[in-house]
Amino acid sequence: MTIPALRFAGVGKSYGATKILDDLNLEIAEGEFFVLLGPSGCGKTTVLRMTAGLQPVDRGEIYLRDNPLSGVPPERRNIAMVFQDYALYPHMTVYHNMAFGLRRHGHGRAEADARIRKTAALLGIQPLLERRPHELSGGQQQRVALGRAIVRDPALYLMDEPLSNLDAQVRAGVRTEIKELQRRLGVTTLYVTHDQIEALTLADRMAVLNEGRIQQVGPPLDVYRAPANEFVASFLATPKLNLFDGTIERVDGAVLVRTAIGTFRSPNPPSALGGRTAVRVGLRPEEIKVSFALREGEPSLAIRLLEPLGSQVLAIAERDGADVTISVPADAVPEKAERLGVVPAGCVVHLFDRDDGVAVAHFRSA
Amino acid sequence: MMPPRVMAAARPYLYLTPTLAVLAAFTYFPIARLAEMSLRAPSVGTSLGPWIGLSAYAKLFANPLFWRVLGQTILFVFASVPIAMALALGLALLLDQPLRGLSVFRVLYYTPVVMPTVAVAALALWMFNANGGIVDYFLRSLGIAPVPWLVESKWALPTLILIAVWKNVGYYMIIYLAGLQSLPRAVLDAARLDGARPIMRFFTITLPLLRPTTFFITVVALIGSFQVFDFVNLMTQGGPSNATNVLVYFAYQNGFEYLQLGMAAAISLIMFALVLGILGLVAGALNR
Amino acid sequence: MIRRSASYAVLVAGLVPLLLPFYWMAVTSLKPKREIFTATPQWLPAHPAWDNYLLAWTAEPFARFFFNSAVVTALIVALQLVLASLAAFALSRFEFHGRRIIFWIIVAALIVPVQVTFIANFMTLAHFGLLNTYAALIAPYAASAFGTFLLRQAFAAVPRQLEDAARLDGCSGLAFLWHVLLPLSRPTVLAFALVAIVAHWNDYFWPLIVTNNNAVRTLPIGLGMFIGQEVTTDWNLLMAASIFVSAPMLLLFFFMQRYFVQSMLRTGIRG
Repeated sequence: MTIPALRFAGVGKSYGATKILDDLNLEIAEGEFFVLLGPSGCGKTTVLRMTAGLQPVDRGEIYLRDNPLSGVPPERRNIAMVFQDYALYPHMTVYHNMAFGLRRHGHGRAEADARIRKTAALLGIQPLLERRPHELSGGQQQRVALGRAIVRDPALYLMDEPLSNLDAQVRAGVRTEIKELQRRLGVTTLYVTHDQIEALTLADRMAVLNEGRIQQVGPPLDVYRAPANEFVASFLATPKLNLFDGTIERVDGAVLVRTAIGTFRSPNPPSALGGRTAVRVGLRPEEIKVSFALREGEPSLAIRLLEPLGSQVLAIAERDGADVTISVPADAVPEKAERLGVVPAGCVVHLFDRDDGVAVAHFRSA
Repeated sequence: MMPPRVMAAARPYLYLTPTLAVLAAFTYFPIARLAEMSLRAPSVGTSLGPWIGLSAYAKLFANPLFWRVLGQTILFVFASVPIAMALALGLALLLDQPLRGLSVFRVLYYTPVVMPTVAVAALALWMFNANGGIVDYFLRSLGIAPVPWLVESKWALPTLILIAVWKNVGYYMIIYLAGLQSLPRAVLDAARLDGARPIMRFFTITLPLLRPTTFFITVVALIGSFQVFDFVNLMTQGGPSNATNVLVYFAYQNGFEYLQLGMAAAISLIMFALVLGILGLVAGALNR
Repeated sequence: MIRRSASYAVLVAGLVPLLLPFYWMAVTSLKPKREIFTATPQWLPAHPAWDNYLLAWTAEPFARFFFNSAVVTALIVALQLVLASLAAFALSRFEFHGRRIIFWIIVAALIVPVQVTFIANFMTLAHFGLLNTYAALIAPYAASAFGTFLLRQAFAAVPRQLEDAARLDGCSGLAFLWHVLLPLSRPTVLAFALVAIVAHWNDYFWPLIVTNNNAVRTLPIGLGMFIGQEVTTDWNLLMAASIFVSAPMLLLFFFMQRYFVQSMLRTGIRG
């Protein structure tokens, strides 16, 4: 069995009586791009800072390639970090920003120089080496921050929301670059973000964190398709997850889920459903099928607002006081549409336990 | 050997120790020492002498000169500070305009601040001199009789006030300028759009917004002005006939001329209490 | 348009009382003795007497005073910078018990001037036999509450992420202070140093209290003694002496005026 590059074993952290992190267990494989996704205040930055050695671990242990890290000062952990605000030294040139850590780690002038040149070439920042951070654009500063991590040639990269300060335009480009760079260098990376798109696009595997507890771990598409609970489903829905109370009826071996906006049928009742008669029903905006061609007498929803997003349109509709947000291809929406109907077949339905929110079934309605 | 964790916890205290030690020895301990000295009869040697209770204070309060010195100090402070601050604010308003060349004025008006008080005193002695002083020449050429600036009791203190204003106005001006330049432009623009006239804008918007700056300058100026000593010692030695005697000079005289160290300590403490009290009043009035 | 020329007019008018004394000081310093007292002021010396400066310089041991002033000012400012840096480092980048109280103890020292404490401090120094020493001139000023406050504000403005980055780069503790905090706070350090240099070069009061022999007297004391001797007669020599006592600070000010203004902008921090 291979040794994981990074392993969290029962790691916990508290501030006074508040538990920031509660019994974190996680293994990250060598070379893996692992994303920790969660809302602000969920403890994800604490995980990074503890891994870097910037904050002590209260309970449990973190292992880097099976070496326990507690007691090892940050500079001897062989870990490099890319910060949210880049944290470049404003009074040093790009060159010296990269040289500083190398020199303080005892590398000679010549070796440091060679490494900096190589890294600068890799990132295409050679022309910037003599500039100071305030003379660089946000994207360039970001690249220098990456360079400062790469030049150290560490066993692990930690990245703390490195894209959050970039303009939307630049962000997608840098995202791709980071992914390609990480593939090329093959260095294990632990990346923290609150942005689900970043998590889905970058991660080999990801974990969703909330209130100091891991909600789900897995490859991004698995997590997206089968969210483990209401929180994960909500967090991975844009702009929001539609949630309704639903009742279960069993007819001819199939299951009918009745909600305020329609009834969904699953031909093969999922076993985890058990004997439940009441559930919470989650429907993502992009996973609801609708029709604007309504037949007489067919149940329909009144459209309150249409928000064009370009190729998609967000339709906010209601029926009997229940709101639903639906993402529809722009060309499918007729002019002056006032009502729409939910097509019962072909929607992706997520069922959660009413009490604890744990997922009990995911199916495509028939 | 201390464990590393204890060492780490001790570090900030270690870094603070030198500063705290110096402040304790030369700022805080002396206040207690002054109190002790004022209750004893210390001699110039190192002996602190016997305890004599409040008799130094009793003598002081019975001495009409003390009350005169106290009054003159307060007069000096409450004349020089408002005059200098008003001038400083006026200059700062003029300099806070988008006009060319104002930085030159800013530098020039600040120049007296970096001058040694001794040099200013020498210069003032010469300019206000009764024999050949240029100030009297200007008065004469305007048809005004020469003024016995430093020679006559009623003129001496106003002359010192004038010199103090000249020396300090640039300092307050720069701080006011800093305050003006950090005012929220949007608020001033909004007032302008509301049609407020310049004078109105100044009294209803600018001045109230400047209150923190005014508070800061008032505190600095009050503390600084109560300390007035250099001009008195160099130009008048408190005279003529004590007309320019002020608290610090009075304490200095008692301590080093009359060798009444206990008395001198009592005067210093009274002055300190006075400054604290006035600062408290100012803080209450301006820093709501 | 009117407002603009009116502004200039007032500002220029204000310069007359401000600059005329400087001019008069310079002119007087160059006048031979017989040109000092004239019925109408002589605006330019007919025969500039440059050797007034030499005469003034040698009238008192000004060379010695100059040296003393330079040594004392340099040592005070150096000590203040070191002590204030350390204290500000502790107050801005560490969590520890009593931090707030210690901060206020230091700031409160700002309202206790040496003009209040001088008698007690004189007694202390006399007790240790330190009167008439450099130590007496320097020790009470070795720490600066003002400098500590200014540097604390500057250090506190350095983001925590930068401290984290430095720690990962193997730079923490005093190395962080030296390599990151101080270079980043250069404008504040410089501004404070300038203000401190001017204050202690010009200081008249404290040296007057603790010195009474020429070996340790500073320039302001020397000039003060000169005033005592020259009054009513040699104004030209007194003005010459005043100029060379002030000159270092005036030069410093004119070359560094950008930073003086900056320092004032910094001290203008609310409350």
